[in-house]
Amino acid sequence: MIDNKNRPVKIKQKFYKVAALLLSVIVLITSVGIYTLIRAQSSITEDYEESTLKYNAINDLEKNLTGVLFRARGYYAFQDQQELDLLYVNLDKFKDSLDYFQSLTLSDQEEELNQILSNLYVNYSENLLPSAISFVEADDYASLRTLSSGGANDDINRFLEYTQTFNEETQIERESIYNEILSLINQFTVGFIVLGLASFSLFVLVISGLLREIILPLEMLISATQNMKKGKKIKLNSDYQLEELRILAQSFRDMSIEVQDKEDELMAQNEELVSQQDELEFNQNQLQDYITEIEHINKALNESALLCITNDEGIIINVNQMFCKISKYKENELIGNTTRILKSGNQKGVFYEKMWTTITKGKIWTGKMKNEAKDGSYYWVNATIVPFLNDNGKAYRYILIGIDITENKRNEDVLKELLSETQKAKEKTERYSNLNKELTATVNRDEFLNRVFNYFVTAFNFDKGILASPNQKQFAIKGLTENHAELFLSDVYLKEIVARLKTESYYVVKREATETEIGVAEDSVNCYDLYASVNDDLGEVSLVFAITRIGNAFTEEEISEINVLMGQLSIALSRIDIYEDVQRERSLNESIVQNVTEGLQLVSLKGDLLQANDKLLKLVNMESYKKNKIVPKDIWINDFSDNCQEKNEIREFYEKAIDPEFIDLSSIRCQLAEDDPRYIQIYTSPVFISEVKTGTIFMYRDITKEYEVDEMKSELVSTVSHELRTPLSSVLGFTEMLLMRDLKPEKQKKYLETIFKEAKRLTNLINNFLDVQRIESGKQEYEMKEVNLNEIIMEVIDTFKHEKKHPIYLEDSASITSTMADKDRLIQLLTNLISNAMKFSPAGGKIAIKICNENEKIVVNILDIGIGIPETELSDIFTKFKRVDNSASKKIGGTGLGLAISKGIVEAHQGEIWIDSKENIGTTVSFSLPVFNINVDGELFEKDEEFKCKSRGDVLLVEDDISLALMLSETLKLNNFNVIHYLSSQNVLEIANERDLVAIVVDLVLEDGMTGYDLIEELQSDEKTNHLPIIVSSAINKTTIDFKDYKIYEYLVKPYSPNVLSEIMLQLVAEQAE
Amino acid sequence: MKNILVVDDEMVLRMLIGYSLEDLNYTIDEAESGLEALEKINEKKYDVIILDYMMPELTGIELLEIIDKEKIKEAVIIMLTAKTQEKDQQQAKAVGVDIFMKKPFSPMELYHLVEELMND
Repeated sequence: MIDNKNRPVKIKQKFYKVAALLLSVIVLITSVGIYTLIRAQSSITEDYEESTLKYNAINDLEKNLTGVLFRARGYYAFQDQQELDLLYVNLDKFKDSLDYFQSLTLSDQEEELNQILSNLYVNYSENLLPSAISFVEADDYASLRTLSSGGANDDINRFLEYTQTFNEETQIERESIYNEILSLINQFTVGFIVLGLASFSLFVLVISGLLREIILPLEMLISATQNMKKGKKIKLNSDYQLEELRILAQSFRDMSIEVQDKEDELMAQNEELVSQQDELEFNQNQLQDYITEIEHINKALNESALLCITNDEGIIINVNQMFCKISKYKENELIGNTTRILKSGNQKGVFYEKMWTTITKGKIWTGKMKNEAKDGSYYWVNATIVPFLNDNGKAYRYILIGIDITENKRNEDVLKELLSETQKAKEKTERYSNLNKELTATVNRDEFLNRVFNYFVTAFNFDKGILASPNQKQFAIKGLTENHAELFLSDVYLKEIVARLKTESYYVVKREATETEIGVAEDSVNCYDLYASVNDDLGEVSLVFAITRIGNAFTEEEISEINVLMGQLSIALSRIDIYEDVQRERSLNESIVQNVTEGLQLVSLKGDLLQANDKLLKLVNMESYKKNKIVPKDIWINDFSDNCQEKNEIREFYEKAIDPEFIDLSSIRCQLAEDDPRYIQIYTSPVFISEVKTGTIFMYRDITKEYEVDEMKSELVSTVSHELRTPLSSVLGFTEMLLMRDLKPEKQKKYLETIFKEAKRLTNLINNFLDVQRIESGKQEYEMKEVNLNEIIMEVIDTFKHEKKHPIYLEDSASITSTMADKDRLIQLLTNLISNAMKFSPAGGKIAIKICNENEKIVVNILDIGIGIPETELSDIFTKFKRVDNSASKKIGGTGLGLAISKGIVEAHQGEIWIDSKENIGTTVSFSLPVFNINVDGELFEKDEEFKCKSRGDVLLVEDDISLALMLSETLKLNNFNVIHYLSSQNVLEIANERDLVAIVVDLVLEDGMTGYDLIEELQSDEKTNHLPIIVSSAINKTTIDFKDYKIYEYLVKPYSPNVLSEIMLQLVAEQAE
Repeated sequence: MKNILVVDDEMVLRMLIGYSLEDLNYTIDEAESGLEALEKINEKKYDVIILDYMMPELTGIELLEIIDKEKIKEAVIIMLTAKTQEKDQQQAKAVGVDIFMKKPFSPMELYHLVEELMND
């Protein structure tokens, strides 16, 4: 820094200097301004005054001139003198004004005006006015007017005009002056304001500069002071321009250094003090915390723990509230007492000894103890005893801190109990589940008993016992003999027990053990017998459970458990019952299914074959199918339908029926493709379980029989119509011809005979139809009586005696011919068969009826030697409307009902009918009827056997008196002769030729045709038969007849004893034997 | 002389037919079975064949089916039958039956029928 500038200046000096400079500048400027203002103002004022003067002067001129003119005109008009006077006055005034105007500084224009006016004045006052006065006085107005219109007036007017202009101009000028003044004033005002502002700015500038010089160091000083206050280091620049400040700064710096030093010292002391104080404070807080903590602990201890302080001898010196509360002693009752007061006696002496030794040694003891409260109740304390040791290491106080754990202990006990109960429950559950397993393992009652009983043996550990089913007499035992068990089951024992168990679910009997039960025990012991039962739904005892324990009673628990188990058994038992019922039902169902005549098939909803009975499998030839084995839908449908002729229809039928949506009934008929066609009707029905289709049942019915019957029935209709129409046609036809034509009597008779015959045929047919109908529908009534078959046969033969072509004989070798029968039906039967025999031997020929006994039966054979029946037709010859289908038999005609009727009749008599035939050789129809014998059975057959061995030969009996013939044959048969009956002599010769006869008995008088005499003649004349011994049986005396030389062995006159004939026969046999 | 063949297994009916037609003085042959008729037709030409429908061994229809049609092309075939159903008649017509007579028939009607046929 340059010294010059640095030299300090005093503040006062500098201030004055600056102020003076400033003031002088301001004064100068102001003075110049004021001066200029005044000058400008005076100039303007002058202009203004001048203008005003001129203005006034001109105006005066004008006014005076106007006055002149006005007065002139007045004078001119009135010629008034006064006016003229006044005119002069005004003219003078004008002159004055003009003079004044001339005295003023005039502009060129004004000068010109002045000139004009001066001229005017001269002109007017000198020329015009005198002339005008003269004219007026002369009243020469015309001249006046001329004068007026002369030049003078022009000047005046010019003047007036000028005045006018002047006035206007002056007005403008004055206004401009006024404006000028205003603008001047404005300029000045602005100038002064500018000046003022400039002066003020300058002032401010100067002052601020000055102030800056003062303020800055001051601020620094202040900040230094503050820093100092804050204890910061001071940095002070003392290089100030102002001396005072420099000094101040200097001294402040000095002071600050001094203060700094002192302060440092103080600081150090202070720090020390502060740290001491902090420490103190901390300690105090900690102490406070300790106190609070201890207070809390104390409180907590009081709330939760028992506290007891004793002296070294165990005398209580302090207890807390908790201790009192738990022990139920008052504080004063405890203090002074020994702790023995608290003992419950639960712990043994050793426990306390151990505790004392521990704590007297100065060690801490902890443990749980049970103490007795004042009221005798117990409480548990988890205690810690802390000994307080003195300097010698000897305990002088003991403090017991304990927690009441009575609740815990109690909970523990409860828990233990619970646990043991849970354990028990678990065991029980296990046992139950084991039992349940046993129960469900079997549905066999016997096995069930054993399993359950074994379970009881393990579960209840008894010495002996039985589980018995009184109804089934089944049992399971332990420690008992079977015999005893059976004895138990016998009524004697069981009845009472069962009766009691009906009212009580169980009972226990306590008794002394029997000697065997005591066993090795020395003293007598008690036995406990428990009886319990399983009752069924109806309350009936279904099982009896009886067990014995020796010397070991049943607990309540065991008994209740046994009771519960009995309930379980009841359920299981009813299950077995149900199972058995179901089994029974099932086997019943199965046997029904297997034994129905229809084939049955059960098919699942899917269509798989679930079950089919044997009948079905046989029916459809599917015996290879295994029973109860599921067969898939496609396979069985294929197999089944392949058997049928209507394969596709059947398949469709199956598919439709199996469809789960299909719930109708339906049926179809099919023909099995076999050699022997069979017809089967298949019915289907859905199976529902609670209205939901679960499968399908098919039922197969062999309707071959029905089908065939049906077929036959429709055939019957046509046959019957045919059969009826033929005789009907004849009857109607011949009748018509009889009616319509004239016929000869012979012809008429012939026609009528035919009609009669055909009408009879018609009747027969109708009768036969009706018979068949009656027999088949079972409506035929049979009036059973004892009859002699040979008698009936003879009677029937008798009805055929007109049939010459067919001689009929009866060969009777039956020792017993009586049977139970409806005679009329038997006659019908025989008539049928004999007519058949005749019909089927159209060429004629003998018909033999043979009767014999065979195994309690009478067998009748009807033999013919006709056309016979082809072997193929024999099988169904007894079927209705079956007629042997060949031309030979067709000629014979018939209804085809005869044999069917015959069969029906025989069967109604518990007999059999059969047929043997050979084409073109003959037919034998046989039937058998059971014998009716009031004698003891057996005799007959011995005789029969005897007879067969010892038949003495055949005797031919030609006798038309049936009763006699029978009587004779009876005796002959008793003598073991075989009797051949002829009711007429017709064809006798033939048989006599064929058979080796013992003899021939001939009635001489025979009703029909050939007489006995003729027969004898024939026999005698034939070489083959002439040796035959002839016995004549006649009512006619021998003497009246000429026998020529015929050999008659014996002549018997009726009546004679049958024995006579038999004896003759025996005699003959004897002779022949020789 | 016209020839008539009566085929019926029932003798009495053949008799009836024979009697009813005897006044016409035609030759009337009888056959008691289809087979016999076959033989007769083969041997001789008939103008009218009166044929029973239902006969053993060979029915009237069967007979017509197997017969040589040439032999009967000029014959009028009258069938006596109890079968009157439409289908039976159609079947019969198909094999050549001309006229049906329902059993029992009227001999006089048959007489007039045959008389008429013969005069045509």
